[in-house]
Order: sequence, then structure tokens, then C-alpha cells
Amino acid sequence: MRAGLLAAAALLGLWASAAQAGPHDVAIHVTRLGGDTATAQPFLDRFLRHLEGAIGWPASSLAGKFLTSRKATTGYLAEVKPGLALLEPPLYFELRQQLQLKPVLQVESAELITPRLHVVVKDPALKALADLAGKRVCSTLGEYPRYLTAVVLDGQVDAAKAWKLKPVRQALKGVRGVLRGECDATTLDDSQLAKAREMTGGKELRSIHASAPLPPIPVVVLGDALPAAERDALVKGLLQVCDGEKGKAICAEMHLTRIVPVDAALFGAAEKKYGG
Amino acid sequence: MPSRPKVHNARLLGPLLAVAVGLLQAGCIWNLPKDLVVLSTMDSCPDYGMLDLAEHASAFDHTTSSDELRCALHKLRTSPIPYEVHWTGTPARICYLLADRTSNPDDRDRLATEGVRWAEIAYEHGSPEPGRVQYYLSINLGLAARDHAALALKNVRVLEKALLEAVALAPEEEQGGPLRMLGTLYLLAPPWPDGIGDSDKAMKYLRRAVQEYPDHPLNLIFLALALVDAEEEAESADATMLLKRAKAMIEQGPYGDARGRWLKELKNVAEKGELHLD
Repeated sequence: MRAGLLAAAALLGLWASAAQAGPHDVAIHVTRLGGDTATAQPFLDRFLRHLEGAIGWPASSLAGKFLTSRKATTGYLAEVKPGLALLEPPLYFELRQQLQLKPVLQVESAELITPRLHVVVKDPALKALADLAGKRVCSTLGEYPRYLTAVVLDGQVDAAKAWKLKPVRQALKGVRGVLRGECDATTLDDSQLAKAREMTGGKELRSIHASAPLPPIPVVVLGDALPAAERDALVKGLLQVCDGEKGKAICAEMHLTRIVPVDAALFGAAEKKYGG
Repeated sequence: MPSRPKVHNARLLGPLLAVAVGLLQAGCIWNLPKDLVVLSTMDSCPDYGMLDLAEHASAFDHTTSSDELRCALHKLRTSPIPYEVHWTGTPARICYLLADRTSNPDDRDRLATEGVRWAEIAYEHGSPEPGRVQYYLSINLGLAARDHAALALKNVRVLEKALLEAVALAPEEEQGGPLRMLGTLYLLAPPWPDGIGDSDKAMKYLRRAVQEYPDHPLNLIFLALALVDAEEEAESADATMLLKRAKAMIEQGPYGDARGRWLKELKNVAEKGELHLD
């Protein structure tokens, strides 16, 4: 199939090296979408075909991979060096300097993004972040103590040193941990906290810290492997990809409402907190 | 006077028969979906009766030839009398066995959609095997929705409800099929609170599938997937062991056309967990 695309691309004169691994690959690491690499592939393919159509690129000139874990994503980014990626914010901050990531757009989605996070406890004796010293905190950010400390906790506590931080893959696991007394605290966004309070014993859950607004999922370019003209075309295409009936339906399959210009102030503030 | 109605009757009989035959040929007698997969080479099908088919079909599995499955489905589609077989999960199971091995996505969708309808027909008529019927409804719905996120999202609660009933009433179907499928649904669905995804529930049902039905390779593969997803070192050792056992079973067992698909599934899990099986 790829050989055929190469011929088509050559005929159209648009691509010198269409469909080669690297700059024309897209990595997606979004943890709240569900599914896995194999089950997500048809949806990602449909999204990319629609994007190519929107910007007038030959079909299948972009290839994409959906990655569910931090480990798989970092491995893929290092090995394949895709031109573009949608990354969970903590991983973006972790790899920003190492891989020269530049946010060019951001995702709008009711389901996929975390507008702010609360540190949630049940034990009435726990009233402030300082009370969690030496306590078990189960968090979906357990793999990202630096982001948790600097961006979510605004530097008030060093989560890696002060807490017994336990990573959990799903927020629900953290909630259950707190309700069963297996964890002293967890991290939840507003909608998760509201739903957790509806669970048995959940009325006693409360927030002892609310973060400042958090950056959403950025669309980033990696280094300068993607030529500027192609990058600009992709950015332009992504801004329109969820428009129209077809685009809306394809984006909805991936829980995307729209892709919009990056909120530089929000990312700038978080970058300042996170440091170099 | 008596002769006139006869004339009318004779005139009406032809068109009525034609309509009846047309309805039968299209599968409309059962109100099946209009866009059915055309079953080819039906001339060479054995001329068995519905009761023979019912008995024969109970042994259908992944080793059954596609021709045999197509013949059985053709018979079901065109059978004018509601034999007992229609109210069981058998027609839906035949559609699933065919859909599962079909590489053409359109044909797979249409066969699976037909399987959903057969299951609905059985359920509507008070099937004596509701758990089995719900399982084949679910598995066909899962196949039909495989490449269609909107359909999958729309039906995720329906799937969960049907599978919970199947788990309660017929957990033994396909050696823990309802447990396996419900566990996998919880594993791969969008997570709480927007979806029903729940890794604890996934682990619970997949562990039960392996404990109660350890001889089905997919039970081992999907539990390994859940363990890999948990991303803990101790879990990956267990996952490796499960995949090794599943691999040996698939290579030696009577799994017919499913062998290749299950080995591919196994390979995907091993790759995801970076597990070495040699």
C-alpha cells in the first residue's frame, strides 16, 4: 500500500518522502480515551485520512499510533521520532526539553482533558496538604511527581519526598482506595469528584487543595524534522479538522470537540512552575 | 357465483406466492436486516431438515468449514416455519462464527448485524436460553461496532447489561465467553466517570474466566492483557506465564481458522507488555 502511495505522491509532486516513518507520523497518548493500540487504530486512521483530505495531502501520507502508557509513548517518540504528537500534559512537560517539543495547538474535549485537579481525602483529620506527610497518596499522576509537585500543588509540597506516592492507571482506583482506607488521598478533577461523592461512602470525600487551571492536551511538533511549510499546513488542517458534519463525527469518535490555537499564557505559566 | 371467487383466488395466488417466496429469499420472514450478505454456492448445500440442522449446529465451532456455516445460515434465513432452533442462540452463533473469520469489514459488519437481529428475535420470542442469546447478541454487537466508535459508544451500556445477564445465566458458553467479554469490555471502555471502563472489574471477571475455564486460550490472553495494563513488575511475570500457556494451547488445540487470529492477539499483548515468550 505504501509503495502505491509513494507513486501517487510523486505524481502529485507534493512529497519527496511520503509515508516514511518519522516526520509524517503522529503519536497520540491520551489516557482517558479507553481502548488500546489495536482497537484505536481504525479511528485514528479515519481521523488522519480526513485530515489529509482537509489539507489536500495524498491519502495515507500520515501514519498514526495510539499509545496507552508512558513507557510505550516515550519508546515510540525516541524510536520513530514522529513529527507531531498529542500528549498528556505531564508527559509533555517531562519530555519538552529533551525532545524539543513545541506546542502548536491544543485539544478541546469535555472527556479527555483535566481542567484542574483536587487533592481529595476522606479522613476528617486531614485538613491541609501538610497533613499528608508520610501518607499514601494514590494518583494517576503517580508516575509524574515533578508535574504533580510543581504544577498541581504549586510547589507547596514535594510529593515524591513528602508522600508515599502510588501510581494508579484510573482515577476510579484512587477513589476506591480512599473509600476503602487503602489510600489516604487521591487526585480528581471536578467531574470525577462530583461522581465520587455519589458513590457509597463518597459524601465524606472532600478537597483539601484545588490546583490552578491546568494546561489541556497539547498538539506538539517534535524538533524541526517536519519542514515549516508542512507544519503550517498541518496546523491549518487541524484547526479545521473537526468542522462540518463529517469532521464533527470523526472527531467525536475520538472524543475531540475541536482543536484550537494554543493558550500560550496557560502553558507559559505551567512551564514557569515546572522549570527547565 | 361460486366460480368467481375461485377465479379471483387463482389470480391472487401467483402474486401472493411470488411475494412469499421473495420474502423468504430476502430473509424478511424474520424481519432480518435488508442488507444481508449474499451467501454463494447454496446449490451444493445438503438438504437437511431444521431438526437435523439444530442437532448438527450444536457442534459448530471455529473448525467448522465456512461452506457448512453458510449452508446452515441459508437454511435459517429461508425457513418459513418457526422451528425451535430460531429461538435459541444458534443462528446468532453461526453469524458470529462467520463474521469473526471474515476479513472484509463490510461483510463482517453485515453478518454481525444479522447475528444481533437473530439474537433479538430469539429474545423477543422468549428464548429458553436467554443467557446464551445475550452472549451472542453481545459478541455480534461487539463485532459490528468494532470499527465504529459512535456505534460502540451508543451500545456500550447495552453490551454491559446483556453481558451481565449472560454471565449470570450462561457463563459456560464458549468456555467463559461472557466473563471474558465483560472483563475485556471493562478493560477497554473509556474510563470512569465518562465511561464504564474499570480496571478492577476487568481483573475480577478475567481472573474468574481463567479460574473457571482455564482451557480457553483467549481467557489467558485477555487476563494477560489486563495484567500488562496494570504495569507492575510482578504482574508481567504472570502475564508471560499466561501467554506461554495460551500459545501452547493454540498451537496444539483444535481451533481451526481462529488459530491465526488468536496468535495475532497474543503477539499484540506480548508486544505491548514487552514480554519475551521464547
